[in-house]
Amino acid sequence: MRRFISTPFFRLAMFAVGVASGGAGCTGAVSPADTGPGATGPDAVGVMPLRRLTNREYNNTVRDLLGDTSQPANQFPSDRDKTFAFRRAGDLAVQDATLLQTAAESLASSAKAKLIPNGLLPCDPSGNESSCAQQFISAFGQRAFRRPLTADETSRLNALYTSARSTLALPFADALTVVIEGVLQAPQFLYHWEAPPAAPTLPEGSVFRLSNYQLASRLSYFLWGSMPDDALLASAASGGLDTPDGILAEAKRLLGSDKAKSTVSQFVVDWLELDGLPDRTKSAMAYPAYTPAIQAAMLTETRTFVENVSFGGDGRLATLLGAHYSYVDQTLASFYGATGAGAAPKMLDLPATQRAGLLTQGSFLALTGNADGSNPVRRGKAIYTKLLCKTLPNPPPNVPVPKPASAGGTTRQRFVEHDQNPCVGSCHAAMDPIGFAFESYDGIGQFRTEDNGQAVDATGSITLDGVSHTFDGAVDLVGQLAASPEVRACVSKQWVRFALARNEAAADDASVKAVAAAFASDGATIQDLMLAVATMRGFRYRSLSPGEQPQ
Amino acid sequence: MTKSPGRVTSPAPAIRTSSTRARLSRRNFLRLTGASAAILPLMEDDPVLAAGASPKRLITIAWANGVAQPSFYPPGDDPTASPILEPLVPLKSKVTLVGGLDYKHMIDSNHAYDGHFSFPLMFTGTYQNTGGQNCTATGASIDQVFASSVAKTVNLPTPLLVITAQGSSTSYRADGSQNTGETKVNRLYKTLFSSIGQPMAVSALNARRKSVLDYLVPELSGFADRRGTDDRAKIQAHLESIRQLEQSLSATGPASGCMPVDPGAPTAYQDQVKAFSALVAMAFRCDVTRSVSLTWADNGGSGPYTMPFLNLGGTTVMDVGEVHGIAHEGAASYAKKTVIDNWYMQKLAELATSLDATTENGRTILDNSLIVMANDMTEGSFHSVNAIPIVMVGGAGGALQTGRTVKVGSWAGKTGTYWTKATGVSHNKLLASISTLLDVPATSFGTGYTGNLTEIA
Repeated sequence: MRRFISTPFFRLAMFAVGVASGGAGCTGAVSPADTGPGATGPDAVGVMPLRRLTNREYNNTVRDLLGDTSQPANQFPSDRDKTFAFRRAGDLAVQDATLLQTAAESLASSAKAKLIPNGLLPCDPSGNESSCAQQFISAFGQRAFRRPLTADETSRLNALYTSARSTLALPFADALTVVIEGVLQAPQFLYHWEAPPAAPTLPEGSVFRLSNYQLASRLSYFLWGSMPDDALLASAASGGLDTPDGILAEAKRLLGSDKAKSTVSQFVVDWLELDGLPDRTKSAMAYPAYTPAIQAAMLTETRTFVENVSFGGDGRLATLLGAHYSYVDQTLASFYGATGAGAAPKMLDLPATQRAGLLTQGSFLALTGNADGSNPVRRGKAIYTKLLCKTLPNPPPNVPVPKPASAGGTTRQRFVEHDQNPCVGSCHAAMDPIGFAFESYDGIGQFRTEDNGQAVDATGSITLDGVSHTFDGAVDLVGQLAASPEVRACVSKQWVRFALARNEAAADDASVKAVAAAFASDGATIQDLMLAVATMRGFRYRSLSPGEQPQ
Repeated sequence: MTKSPGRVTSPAPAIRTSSTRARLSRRNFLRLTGASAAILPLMEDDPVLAAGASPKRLITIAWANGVAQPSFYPPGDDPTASPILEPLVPLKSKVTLVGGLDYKHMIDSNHAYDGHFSFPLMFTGTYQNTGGQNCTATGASIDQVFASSVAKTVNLPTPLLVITAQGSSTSYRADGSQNTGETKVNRLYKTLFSSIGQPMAVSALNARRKSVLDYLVPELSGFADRRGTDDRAKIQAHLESIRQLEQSLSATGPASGCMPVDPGAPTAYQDQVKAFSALVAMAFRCDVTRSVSLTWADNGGSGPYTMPFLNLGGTTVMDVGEVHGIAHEGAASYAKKTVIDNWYMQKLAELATSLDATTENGRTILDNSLIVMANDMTEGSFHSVNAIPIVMVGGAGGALQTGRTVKVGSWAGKTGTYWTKATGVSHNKLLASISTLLDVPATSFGTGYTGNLTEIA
């Protein structure tokens, strides 16, 4: 009887190619847009492809712009890009335009009640309606477009207002809601747009420094996932972002806001693909305990843990990957064997021999587990690609799957037999020995000492920094990961990708190295890392893209 | 980055004139008869299509993970005589099975086993690898080509209806950008039919929308100035979408006698598939669209999905009916895979039957339509893209000879277990023939592999 490979290999293989930056043995995955103009010197930086607000950015932006917390982008198509590790909205098709129109109409309608003096209006329309409309357009437009409007933009929005007020004969506030609908569907609002200056400012001829308003936008969307606040726009206007020190000061201010917390947890969710957890169906027969409530609690746990370690905690990678505590609510308490939990997640000590950080949490283990058992391939592959930033070649066709549990033996024994198949050996030699570290956890992440009636063997090996290390169990493995310069460099590179919403190009090399250097020491924190990204050259400059004309 | 959609040779002949389109609008009908919507009878024979009009329609359907070939291909000429195709038996005379076609683009570029990545190629006949197994289309899909052709003669509210019950759409525009699919049943119902019975509200809303869209067009055009090549293409795609929204403002409303039924907001996969089909049938009857792209199953391993409602049994990973995993087991799980694909054929039969229930000018809507359903690969354990399972239902307005199995390439003339090996023909030729059947005459479709599938058209 022939058996064939199961889901995980191919699912993960699809993501692997996206993370590639031209690795050896791979057919390459850097799209032309990700490739810089060829320069690789210390001053070189990559191009920045035009990108739309992600769904999270859209929700956060309308929250900050209009005070609207209805999260309309939850109705938009997913912005998960299969060819990239983080989020990136696709081309705007008719369906997207329709949904943006619907969202804009709904947001504008809700905003109508706020179109009053001291609300969204900077003036009292009872005096001079037309002048007040213009003041609104100028003030609201600047916040929505994240920079002062040009004269042409102002006059087109004024024309839109006039058409709504006169031609459509709408009342004053209603006419302004038409303006809001227009602004919310305008490209200046929907896209991150960084127009080049009048002439390139560096000898390379194609590299230029972003304007202060563009920098303000990059800072706030990177650190907050949202638009700049008034203080940041004011800083941009007054030259506060002229120097790296000025940028650093603003970045620190932004990190001090609660809005930054969800950025760090969102990074982790996207990086480890934890948002895929709700799609992971588990066998009710194998795991009757795995309820939707448990699943939701696992995601909340990880988010809470990451946010608390990064803000208020010591912020170190060793803690994120090695803490023997987590933030557990009563739904999860029995899952971890923890006591003292309440309705809200609370910091609790977990058995130190069983749990250490992110990679031993239920969210990661359930995501990378099978429907009815563990999955060393998927778990090993996650470490290999996401923490070591390595790339696997495409899977060969017609690969047999490991035998099911009913064939007898532990998961490990069955997967080892599978790996000896010559057509799969080369890939699995890289993944499975790492994944065996997690054999002490079943398909939903519960700790176990036996698998299919036999003692678990969680020993294995991993090559870190060019040296092969052995380990016994996940707690041992994650300790070695946290201490590895290779892992630290990879995590810092993932942050660069997250911040730029693209893979690094050769031209970004100096920036990538600068960020890695800032995160090299064990004492460096996630906030240190974020500040290094916010001040790296690739964050402050960009190259002209092919075909792009300076002003 | 503009690419040819495939040398479509001439615009479509007027398949429906403005005079045949002229009719009582629903609201006028209600006003004249004094009837309320609730008491209007369901008119099976479309009263407004009686004047010699019988517009052609197209539905493409994508499903995935291959099939158990021995359970799929019938031994002889009866296109429904197999365990998987059995649900189509009542429609036998209207079914055309096409066997022996390959996704040649992929085979010839050394991606013969990338079946999980074939959606961009499926209905466009174009393929561009973008690294690893990833790829994109470089031209328009047949549903888009047909919709654009129809749009030259009649401004329908929804020229092209794209629905993704799961996964990504197979619909692409001429520049190779992907059309996003609708994923929510209740939202689609609203989009298609909310204008019925609210003329004043609709006209005020449209006036308002027109103002905003008029503002956006120059804003987007200016935005594209001086941008790089790739960015300009993105903005161009955006602008094109905005133009279509503008176009739809002046579209004709739903046909009179149109009696849409609110499908609610089903959440289970099987209920959504069914509700989407019901909406497609309503949309055809109401003539709000004539071209539909449906994705019923994701093209592969990217998202695990299960069909617990099929009660496939077992105690392993498969006891949750994880479709991709079952497909990977190959022959060992052919029995389960056959149940799965038989279910998909039930869904196809339901959709076709509902189109067959409405007559217009002596023929049913199904007779005037063409449903083309294609899989992303041959069989789930190999992922190969030769001998793609393709089923068609409907007569394309009498242009297609139905009720037969068409075997091409090395399968031509074979009987028995002919499907064990294939040296196939490019499916581009079928797409060219489909285009021709739909009155968009073409001698090729997509890129390369010119010619028609002469057995079809």
